[in-house]
Amino acid sequence: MSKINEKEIKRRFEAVSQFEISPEVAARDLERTKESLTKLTSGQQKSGHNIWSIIMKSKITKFTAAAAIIIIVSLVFSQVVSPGLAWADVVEPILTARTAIFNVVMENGQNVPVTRIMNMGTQRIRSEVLSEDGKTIQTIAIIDFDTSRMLTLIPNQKIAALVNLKDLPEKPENILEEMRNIITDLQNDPDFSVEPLGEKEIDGRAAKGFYATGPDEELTIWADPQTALPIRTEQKWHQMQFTCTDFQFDIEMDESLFSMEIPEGYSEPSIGEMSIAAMLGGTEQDLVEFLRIYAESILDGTFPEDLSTQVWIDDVNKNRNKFAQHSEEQNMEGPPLEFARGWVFFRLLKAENDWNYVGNGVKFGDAESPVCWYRPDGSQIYRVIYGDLSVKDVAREDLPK
Amino acid sequence: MNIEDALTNKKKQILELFEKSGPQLHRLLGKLTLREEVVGDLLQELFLRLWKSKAFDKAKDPFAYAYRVAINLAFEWRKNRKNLSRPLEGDYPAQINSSTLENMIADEQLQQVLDATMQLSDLSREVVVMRYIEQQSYEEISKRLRKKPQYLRALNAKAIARLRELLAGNEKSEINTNV
Repeated sequence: MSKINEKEIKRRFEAVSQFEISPEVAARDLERTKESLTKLTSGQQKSGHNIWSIIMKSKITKFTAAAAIIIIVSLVFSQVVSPGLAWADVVEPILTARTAIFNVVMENGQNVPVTRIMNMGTQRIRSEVLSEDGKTIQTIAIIDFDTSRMLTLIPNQKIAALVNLKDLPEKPENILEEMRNIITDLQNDPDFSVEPLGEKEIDGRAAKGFYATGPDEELTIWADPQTALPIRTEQKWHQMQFTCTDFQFDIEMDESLFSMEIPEGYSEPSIGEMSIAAMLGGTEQDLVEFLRIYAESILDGTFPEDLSTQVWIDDVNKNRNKFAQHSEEQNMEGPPLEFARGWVFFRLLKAENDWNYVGNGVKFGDAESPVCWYRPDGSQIYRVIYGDLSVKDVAREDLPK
Repeated sequence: MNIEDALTNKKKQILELFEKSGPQLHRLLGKLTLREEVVGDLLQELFLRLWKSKAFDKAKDPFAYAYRVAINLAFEWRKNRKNLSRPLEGDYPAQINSSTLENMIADEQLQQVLDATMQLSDLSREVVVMRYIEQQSYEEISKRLRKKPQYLRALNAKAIARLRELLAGNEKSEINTNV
């Protein structure tokens, strides 16, 4: 029988309460803190800002901005910016375009924001996250790879943030070139195949379809039979799904759209930095933290129906006051970095990682019910995360049915 | 109030808090980490967070606010420490005498109870810390957290039950490992 009873727990806490720091160490620590506090409050030491503390200044825009930043990072830095991969004539515009504009939606859903991506030349990108009705711009991010900087603007709040991008995994020399590389890689892959889908009408236009598959992605592309320009692409890449529409290639765009100057009327920009490697380098522990925050702080102690972007945005919109209150109590200025990293972590799992989410209705703290599982790279054993957020190694044959 | 005035007020508020409550917050961080060598850094981090926090500016009771941030900070440290902890290889003394061993076991037991506390909900964790580690009465906790004492008693009882489960799980896995 277990020796851990209430008395034993209280005995241990009693011992913890007796812990004392030596007077010399305490005096030294207090002196050091006083010195740094004096420097800090007299402006001699600048406090560091990260992307979250800059963007999350406003409760109103907090969640939209968080969604926008995560989506932008996923789109731009995961090198999945592939507005359309069609073949032969259909890929021609992508392969030769100097500029490109297209809309991207992560997964399909009524409330999922549309992100408009504009590529200028090879080194500059502007992304605009649009409102639900598509009429207003909620968040703008302008990225300049030459200078490794990102300017983020929240128009309705007139908030600006200038972020130095650190640790770019492999600095893309040319975003359009990246797209071309993806096409070329797919075409060169022995497992690659294209299946014609015939013709159908999309948004009132006749379109000819192709379905292509590679090792980690599936792509459906619908193109105008007359011009061969892509009309719509649907891409599944790892655990992410993108739908791209409204393509325009080689059109003139105003230089001011890509300017790093702060527009008139905006506040003096906050200046901070964002480590792309940190953002994309999520671990299982980040996933656990993502699930904890989702169940505990956004929902009321249960795990979400699924982990799609639409459910996430719906849940956040329904419970934004609760999370705002929680953030304030926790002295957080927005979702912690782990939240974004956890989100990116499972999104980047590949097909062979066999990701499964079964958390719908599971109560936070339920040690018996699984929430999700996956198989780490190169492992035969699965990692199963339960409702109490414990993680166990489980053989394939013992996975929950 | 202009920005200069606001900054001056905040500076005054935070320096007063440090003078008045710095030692108490330092002791609290010590108890929650049980590691003398990390407390200084955590105390600096605590005041840095308060300086940057907008919610702190609006807090009705700055000490209560700082106290809760300190608890969160200490458990954040604990979580990160747990993530980073790896079995040591070759760093143990060649011979461990019985008193060293007893101390190691005792220390491990205390770390376990704090690690288990980390897994409680935010409010339960605060109640447990205030009740058992800071040894405050329910009435005192009630004032600080602005919740009814009866509710806090019930919450605490549930927290203890949960801690028993968590610690029994640890004990079981240790037995399995030893076997």
